Amino acid sequence: MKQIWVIARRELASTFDSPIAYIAATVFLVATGLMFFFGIDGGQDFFEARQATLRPLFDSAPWVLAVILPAVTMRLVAEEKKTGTLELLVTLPVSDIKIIIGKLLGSMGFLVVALVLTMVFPAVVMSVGSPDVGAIIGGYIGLFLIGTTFLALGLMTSTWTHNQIVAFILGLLLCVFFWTATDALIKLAFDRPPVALRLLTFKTQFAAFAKGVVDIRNVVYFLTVTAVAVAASTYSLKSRNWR
Amino acid sequence: MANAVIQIRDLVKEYDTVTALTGVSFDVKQGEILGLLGPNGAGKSTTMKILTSFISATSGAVTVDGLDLFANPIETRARIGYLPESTALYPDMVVWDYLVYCGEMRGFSREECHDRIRKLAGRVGLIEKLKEPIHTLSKGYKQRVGLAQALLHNPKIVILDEPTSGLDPNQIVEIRQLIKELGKDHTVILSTHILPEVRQTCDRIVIIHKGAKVADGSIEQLEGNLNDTHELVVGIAWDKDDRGEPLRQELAQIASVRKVSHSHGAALPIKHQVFEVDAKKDVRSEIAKWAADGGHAIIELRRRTLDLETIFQRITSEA
Amino acid sequence: MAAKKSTPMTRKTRTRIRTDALVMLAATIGVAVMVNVVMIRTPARLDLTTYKVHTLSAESIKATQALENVTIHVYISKDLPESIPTQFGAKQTLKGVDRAFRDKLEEYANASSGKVRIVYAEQDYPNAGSIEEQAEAAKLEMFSSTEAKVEGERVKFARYALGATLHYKSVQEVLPKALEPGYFEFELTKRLLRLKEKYDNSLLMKDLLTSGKKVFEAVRACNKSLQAVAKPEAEGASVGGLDLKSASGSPAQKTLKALKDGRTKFDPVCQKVGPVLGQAEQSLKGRNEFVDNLVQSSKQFWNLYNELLRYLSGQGRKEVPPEAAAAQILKLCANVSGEVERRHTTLTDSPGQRRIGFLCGHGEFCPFKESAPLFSPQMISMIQKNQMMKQIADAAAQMAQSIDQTNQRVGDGLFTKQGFSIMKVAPNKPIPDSVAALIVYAPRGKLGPYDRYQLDQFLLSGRPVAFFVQNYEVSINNMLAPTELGQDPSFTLNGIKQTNTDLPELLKNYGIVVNRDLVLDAKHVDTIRVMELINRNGMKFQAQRDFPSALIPVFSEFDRSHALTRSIQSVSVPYTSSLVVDPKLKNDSRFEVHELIKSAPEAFVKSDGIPVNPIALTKMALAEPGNGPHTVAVTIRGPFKSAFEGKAIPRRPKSKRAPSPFPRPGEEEETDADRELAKRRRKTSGTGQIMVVASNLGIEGLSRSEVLTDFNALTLTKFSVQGMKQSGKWQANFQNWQIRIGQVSHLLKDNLRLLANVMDWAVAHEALADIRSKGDTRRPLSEIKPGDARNMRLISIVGAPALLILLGFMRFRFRRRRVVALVDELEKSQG
Repeated sequence: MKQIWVIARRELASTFDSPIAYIAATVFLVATGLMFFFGIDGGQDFFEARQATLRPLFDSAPWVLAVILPAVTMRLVAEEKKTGTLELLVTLPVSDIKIIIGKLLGSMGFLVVALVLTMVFPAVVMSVGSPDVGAIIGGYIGLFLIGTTFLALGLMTSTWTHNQIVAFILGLLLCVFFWTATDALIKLAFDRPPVALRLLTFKTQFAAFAKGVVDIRNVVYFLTVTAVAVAASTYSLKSRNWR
Repeated sequence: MANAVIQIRDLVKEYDTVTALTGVSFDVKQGEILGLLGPNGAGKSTTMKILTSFISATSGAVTVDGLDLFANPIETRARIGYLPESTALYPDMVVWDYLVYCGEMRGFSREECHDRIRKLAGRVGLIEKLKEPIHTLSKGYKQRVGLAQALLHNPKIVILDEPTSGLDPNQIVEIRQLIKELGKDHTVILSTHILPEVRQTCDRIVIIHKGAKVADGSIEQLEGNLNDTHELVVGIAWDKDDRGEPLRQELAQIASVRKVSHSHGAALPIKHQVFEVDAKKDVRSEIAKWAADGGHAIIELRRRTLDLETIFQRITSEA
Repeated sequence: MAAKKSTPMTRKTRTRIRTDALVMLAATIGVAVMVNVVMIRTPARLDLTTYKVHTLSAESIKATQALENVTIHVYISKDLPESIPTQFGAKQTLKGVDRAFRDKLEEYANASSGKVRIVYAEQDYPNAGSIEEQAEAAKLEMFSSTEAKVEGERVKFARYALGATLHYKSVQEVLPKALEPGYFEFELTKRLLRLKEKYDNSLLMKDLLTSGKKVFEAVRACNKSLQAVAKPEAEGASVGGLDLKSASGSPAQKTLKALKDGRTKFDPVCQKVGPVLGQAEQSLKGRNEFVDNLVQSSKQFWNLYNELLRYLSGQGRKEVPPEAAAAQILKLCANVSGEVERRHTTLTDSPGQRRIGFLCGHGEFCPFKESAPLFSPQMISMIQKNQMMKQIADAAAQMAQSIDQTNQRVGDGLFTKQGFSIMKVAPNKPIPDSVAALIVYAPRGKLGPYDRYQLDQFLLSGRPVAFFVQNYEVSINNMLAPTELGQDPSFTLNGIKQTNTDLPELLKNYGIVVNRDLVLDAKHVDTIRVMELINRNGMKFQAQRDFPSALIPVFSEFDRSHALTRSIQSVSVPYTSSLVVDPKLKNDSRFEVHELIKSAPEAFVKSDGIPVNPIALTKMALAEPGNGPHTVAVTIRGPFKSAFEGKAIPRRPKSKRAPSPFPRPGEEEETDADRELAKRRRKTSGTGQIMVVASNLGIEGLSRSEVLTDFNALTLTKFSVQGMKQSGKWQANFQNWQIRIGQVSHLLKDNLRLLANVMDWAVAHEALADIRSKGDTRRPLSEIKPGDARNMRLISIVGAPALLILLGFMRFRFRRRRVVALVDELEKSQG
């Protein structure tokens, strides 16, 4: 356990040593801010809608997360592969899965920082109205879970290559795909898509959180997707043994 | 072998298209400094990568300190300190922090890490660089950081892949000195293709060539094995310009001489010709006698020893 | 491990590692899929919202368990569109609505401990047709998307269904369209409660229902066979143009012939109507108004049928050609048969339904069609003579029609379709006993002593009364009637005008003082939508703009102990007066007082000097110190004393005969017998339930007398110029009503829900009010200066990243500090 924390701590520190973290977090904050306050994604201007709710934030934030989180995770393994530091890391007395979990936790640190910074928005909303605090908490739990899942997917693509750009693009595609595109694809593939397939879309799974409902099914879904991505990352990291 | 710390048996490593190791077996004894020798691409690094569990072997067996390497990768890694060939370190980290990180990864508390770094830093000559970010360090210092990292947990076994490559001569000397000292408390395996390094530092040599072990023993043993042939270098004053062909023929007549070849001519300080004599035994006294009898002036007469370089060349070119 | 260790030399390590890794990965995926599949059937959720708006209320769970074996048939179209068009070009998204509906239904099923069964209509169900066809047969409300589908050679809008029918024993309820997830629980629980009520009461009136059904079925069967006999001939006639021999007549003639020939086919069926009807009339007359209605329509049908028979046997009226009469009667039969079916549905829906009366006639909100014709017969004859008058009369008639249509639509949409049974309570008449609860909705004129007495007695009888008091009429810009002919209508910044209501005088007797003031709040405000006339580049056009208005305070302090306001998050109530409950009542344990809605402490009250201009208003309001909180809605239950104690019973006013344009039918004089009866029934005290809301919630009544001011024969016959001006005034009145509604129309949706809550209270379904409120999640912002909004945006969008970068900078600056200290110490110790 300790090793996981040591890795996580190093990854977090390292994330904030690189300008990408600041760029990504700034993009996240500015983009969600613009969407929330000006409704530039087609929503309504917050001060014109005059509703003390953070729903617009929870509607737009996953989109932005799907774009910026792969930028944060792209370096996790790909960079170590490229510079060779991976060799030292995996020859330390630590199992591969601990490395992956440690790295995931480290990048979750970034997610938490980014989300904490967005709490400026609820603070503003609370200063001018009385939003449903429970609903906000639910939304943040959802953002944290969906963000973690995006991170795990990004981490997975980062283990596939030693090229960070490739890892980023693959991660981005995967996240956006799971966030919404599965819908479109399923519609292409089926006349009447089975419900089970429609449930694959993150958007469907996220909807309840945005309303302030933490449904165990949604939680389990995101956790299991994360677990699968972690397992696949570990598999990919282990593959050095047979390639 | 009772005191073998590492046993390697029939190690085979196949990559997709290449076979890197074709079945290497050797032991490493407690407290010995083993030089793993071979040309580039011979399989030295592959062997070390397998030993450190970076990659796995296709087949074969390795025990480290009595443990099956493949069954207990984590435990065996804990007993090994490893300096990889690339010495890749996290460039953004400060040396001190990096060493703390490595120590913590090996299970030490932070305080313990600090203690160990304090003790080790002087040994590897890092004190003045401890607060610098790694990316500002020279190659030599980076190498020292890598070494410090490998030694931090005072491992039973230290594996160094090309520890002196890319260093300037002074640094090389320092590092070699360090390795020699390591041998006092640790079992050291080091790979290199620089032969003087081996002579200066190693107790024993294993030569790997094209994925197979081709030689194994102490330097003396290896040299001894090959020294049943005797080669002499003979320089005789000669003022004609015919490359001393008559001299060569006369030398060839001497008993036990197998072959004489002209090496080169030289003018200064005295015009003379140099020959290489290959004989069944040491024929220096016979040559001296022949020169005295024939009135030739011997400018140079010395025995050519078969040093490591030659041995290496021989072995690797034979195959 | 031990085994591996003992034979380290043999295994192919690479393959083994790979296999192990693959097994791990596959196992993870397998477990992940399994866990998710298992979880689908394991609903466990945490509702973090303050009022648990996404969790079934206790009342809903109770409702599911109160009924044994309820079956819910669910109709959900496959491939629902992403969104459907709604009014005003807006779109309603349907994404996830079907899933939310399923989830909600499953929640009910789970909560019912097996008593509620959900059955989904399946397309592939044998012989059932498409889901849409099944849904239509089950009387669901179909809707279509904007996307047209080409079907055969015709372009069709695809139709969809999303709804359910609930069945319990012999009764059923329909949820025709389920598109708003926030109200699923309300809609379902309402129907579950209704099922029980309906069934229990239908047992009591079983004979009525059975006879009603018999009558309805007889009429339906007759009409069906009639139309079946007539139709193919009519169709054949239209295509069989080549058959010259038989082309002896028009389609109508053919129909006549077909009916004559086919008489043996339909007559035996239709002859059953007579006896069934007779039986029902004899045994049931006067017992139930819905049965009476049904019988009345059926009788109409029976008469039509008999008239048809007369024409068929050549005994019809001579001046009408029989084929034309037959076709006409056939059409009427179909219409009346439809009416019979509707009345039958009303009857089957009626058991246990409590009727809510709306008092009308004093400028109230009264969503009914005016029953009296606009023109009396003598007026019509006058109008016919004058061309100018005819024009004005036409305009008036048109306006009266649109008033009626609006009222009818509002009444249907807001109440009848929501399952409320409403009826009009006429002024200056005793309130019928069938009224279970009464709503007095913001009268702008005086009620007069007689009606006040009626209200008083109604209250003392224990039936709930809800009063909406409107002290002021506020309008920001009003249209002015043109003063000269041919002038364009102009707008004026209008003011705030007191209404004539005398409700406060009545309420004072029950310990409720409604002040003649308005509640304002500068901080917690909603917006008013103001129409602006913009003159740009010589082009005049109208635009709408929202201004925060202190006259529309946002109320967010509610009495959470009362079901009506338990889950409401906020309401924006326009033009509210403050009210005060007599402290004596509050301290009296016999009275149950709930001050339902209160303003924020920052609110203040004011009765004059209130500017209408929203900007000036905000300025003024911001300068005013708050003296709240002010109560604006209250409900009291307790032993009230009559307001007429010790006074004589007011006489019923004599109806004003001409020149009243609206002579009310049956307006006979009060007789001595009536007065005697009133005296005997008089109550001096009684336990009553009263609710007072000191606002009209922005819902304003629309009636002829308000719009068609001074409408009488005299105006119409006076100078025609005067008449023209008058008609311009009517136009302005109507438009001003529209403007006033338009200014607060964005609040109406929520306020109508509040009104519906009040109605639920009136019919003792408070729990439903609570559930309905859960769907309302509006939480308006408090008032902010434009500059503040800009600053907040700036802080949020620039501030957060700036903070991040600052933190990063600090990190870079100080991260080595600790290491440097440690190393320095080390260097010192080493010399």
